[in-house]
Amino acid sequence: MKLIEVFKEVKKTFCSLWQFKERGETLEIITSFNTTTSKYISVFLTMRKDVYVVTDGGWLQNGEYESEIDYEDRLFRIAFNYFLKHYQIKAVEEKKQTFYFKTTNDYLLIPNVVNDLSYFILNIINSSEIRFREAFDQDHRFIKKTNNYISDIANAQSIIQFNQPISPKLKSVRFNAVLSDRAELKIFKYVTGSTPRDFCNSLSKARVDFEIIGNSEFNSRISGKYVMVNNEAKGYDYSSILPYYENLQNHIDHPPIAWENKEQLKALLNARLN
Amino acid sequence: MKVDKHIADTYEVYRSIILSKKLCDENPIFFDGDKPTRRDFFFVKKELSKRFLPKTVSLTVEQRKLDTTSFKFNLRCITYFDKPLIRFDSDGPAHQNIGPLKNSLIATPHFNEFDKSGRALAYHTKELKDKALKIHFLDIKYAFKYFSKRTNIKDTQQNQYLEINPKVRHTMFQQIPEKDFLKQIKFGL
Repeated sequence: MKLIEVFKEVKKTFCSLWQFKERGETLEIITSFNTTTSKYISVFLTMRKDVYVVTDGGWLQNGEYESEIDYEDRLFRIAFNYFLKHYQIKAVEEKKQTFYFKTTNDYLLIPNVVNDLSYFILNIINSSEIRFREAFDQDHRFIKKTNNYISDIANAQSIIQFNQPISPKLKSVRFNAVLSDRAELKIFKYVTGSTPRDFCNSLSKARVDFEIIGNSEFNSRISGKYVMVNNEAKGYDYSSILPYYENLQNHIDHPPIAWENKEQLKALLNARLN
Repeated sequence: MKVDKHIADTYEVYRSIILSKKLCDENPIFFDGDKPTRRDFFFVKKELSKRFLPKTVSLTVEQRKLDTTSFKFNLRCITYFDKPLIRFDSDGPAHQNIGPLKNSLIATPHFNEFDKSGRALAYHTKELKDKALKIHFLDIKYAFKYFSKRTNIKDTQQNQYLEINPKVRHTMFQQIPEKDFLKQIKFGL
């Protein structure tokens, strides 16, 4: 029957996608599973004593699949834990990286292990791409492009971290970007929002966080406090935000910088304390 | 599959940025140090000047410290577009191109660019398809020279294609390639 021939062609195509790369005592298996970010999943097969190990090679956590995995997002965490538990995936942190893996010493179960780990990786990546809230999506884009811009213009000696607290003692006080250059810190808040109310909330939070840091023991280490404003945001309405804007300025070192004037940042980042 | 409208609308400009001559003030280039956002990578960024268009183009090179066959070259023009215009990845996941599934998997090493419709695509050049030549692309010096020929990057002094000396400037340390990047990982076993 003709359709059986078609099926054979389909099966042949899927099989042909599977490839391997030799990496010393490890084999990279390129699977036919593809993500919504246009990547094919790879898993790594290796052995430790008599045990077969199949792992993601650290690629999920270190950004190889270029997806925005935000472990702080409550909704994402629910999905993450669901898949982790369902596929019974183990995790280990070694050499400052997180590896997800499964093991077996039964040769017959290796395909199962490859199956489980591949689907785990695939589901995590695809889930992390879902924007459950549309407003979040627009703010997220602004955050991402501002992060990229700051990475691009920061000087080569800086270390940049995104969405970080300054200290473990003030864990909930986070800054969108923290630049360390020797002992000096330059900290950034991004202000955005898809409604005037969200925008003002974003401004208020920025103000409060800068105030808390300003009153803390870490203040002496901070050589710059900056705000980047998404003046293209839906919620940007100058008259609504003006009182919050004026209030914020008392706690930062430079007037808030609108995205369209982002070049001002270049000069500011190259300035030094003393 | 995501489509970047800006690239589609200005495709001629996009191509001209990639193909027109770009100049670097030194040759070879070296790594400056660690990548600011990833301390496990060596990194260098060079601003390239372009003769006929005012936009500056930046070139970045990053190489994984623990696996020297894993590196990326990126060419960006942030005043034109926020993502890299053309990339070379020596390692990492295979890309899925649009079209028949049979031909869609493009494994690394590969180039990444945008097509006329603004879609990201990965591809192999003739040399990358050649089984004997492909292995050379895991050598950063070879791959980089190939990249600079392809993207027309030369130096201002001698007008030669740009090359890289893959060590950190002013250091003696040279990386030894490690074939198995998981060698040191015990997995709790």
